[in-house]
Amino acid sequence: VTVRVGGRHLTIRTTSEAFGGWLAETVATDAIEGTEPDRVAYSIVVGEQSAVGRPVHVVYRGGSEILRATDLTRIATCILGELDTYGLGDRDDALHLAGSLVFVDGRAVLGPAFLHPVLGRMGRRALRAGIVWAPAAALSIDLSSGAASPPSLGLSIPPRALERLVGLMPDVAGEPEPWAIDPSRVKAIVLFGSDPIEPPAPTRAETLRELAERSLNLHKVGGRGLVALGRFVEDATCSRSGWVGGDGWLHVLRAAARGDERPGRGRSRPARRYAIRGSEDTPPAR
Amino acid sequence: VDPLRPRVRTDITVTELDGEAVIYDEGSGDLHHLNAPATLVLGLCDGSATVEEMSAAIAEAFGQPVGEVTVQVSALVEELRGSKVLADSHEGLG
Repeated sequence: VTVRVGGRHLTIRTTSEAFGGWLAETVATDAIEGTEPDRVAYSIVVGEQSAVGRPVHVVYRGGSEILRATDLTRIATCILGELDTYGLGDRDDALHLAGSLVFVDGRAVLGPAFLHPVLGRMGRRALRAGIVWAPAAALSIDLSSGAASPPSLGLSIPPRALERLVGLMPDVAGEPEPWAIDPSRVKAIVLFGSDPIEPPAPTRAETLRELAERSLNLHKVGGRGLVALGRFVEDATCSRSGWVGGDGWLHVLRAAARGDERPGRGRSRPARRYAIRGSEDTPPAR
Repeated sequence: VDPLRPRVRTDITVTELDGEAVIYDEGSGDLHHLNAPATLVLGLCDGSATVEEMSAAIAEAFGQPVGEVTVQVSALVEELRGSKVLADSHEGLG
């Protein structure tokens, strides 16, 4: 299936004919034919056998796994949320940000967008740790209240599409798993900082500026977007963490939800740096 | 606008958190972050006072030598003027 969202052509491939048929019907309004897809694409493996006995479904963005789940509606919600993200820059219904909105024991925490696939690869292990996360690595800030929630879908989706999917594929649909979907005041914001290893906590104003820079559509909503973002940030504990590895992020998120301003303390380690020889930063090879 | 009495542009958005300001200029798309002392100066840029008058008020409030404060306030005002945070001296003339 190829869809056009936000001016980009995105191809989704799947191992399941039934799931592919459902997806084609569900995104039919935005689907296109006969065009070359650009390099961003998704692959969905449905019903892979796992060690636990239940069929497991996996979503890949390019070659990277971003979600592993036994709940097929979670997979469907993930791919719809991912596709929708590409259209957020053109919308003016809210301020949209790249980031991972997670709930830790019911407390909302905003982390860097790259946490999304980190948690997604952990699957049920993260859920068992009391952490649930939003369907896509983006969130919406209400322009009036500053409350955060996953973006409402801009794609045209038929009503009761997820229920129809379960009806089509009852054998592999699995048990429902939770998403973080409730609009909420965010308790803590964790920014990423690769240097130094244990970076100091940013001020709320620094956090506001960094989030504003990371917004997808501040140019569309203008100054009221900054004001709403200020409301979003004003009550949150702001912190910064270096890279801590997969399970380390569970610790960081739990510590941030408790109000720790240095949640990565003792766990951060320098990010690996890579350079391509011949790039602008390095002299050309002789 | 009196070029000697700096004034913040009215068409930019200023949001303050814990005494620090973040400014968004919709026209250029620029974002600025001011620390607490700079935000204090920004708050005085309302078109009513000269740099010398602002500096004297700050020096008195914080018990600092007025000469040193004037140097720092002047530099900041020039920087804010260069960043188009302050109204252009031509604005409102004619």
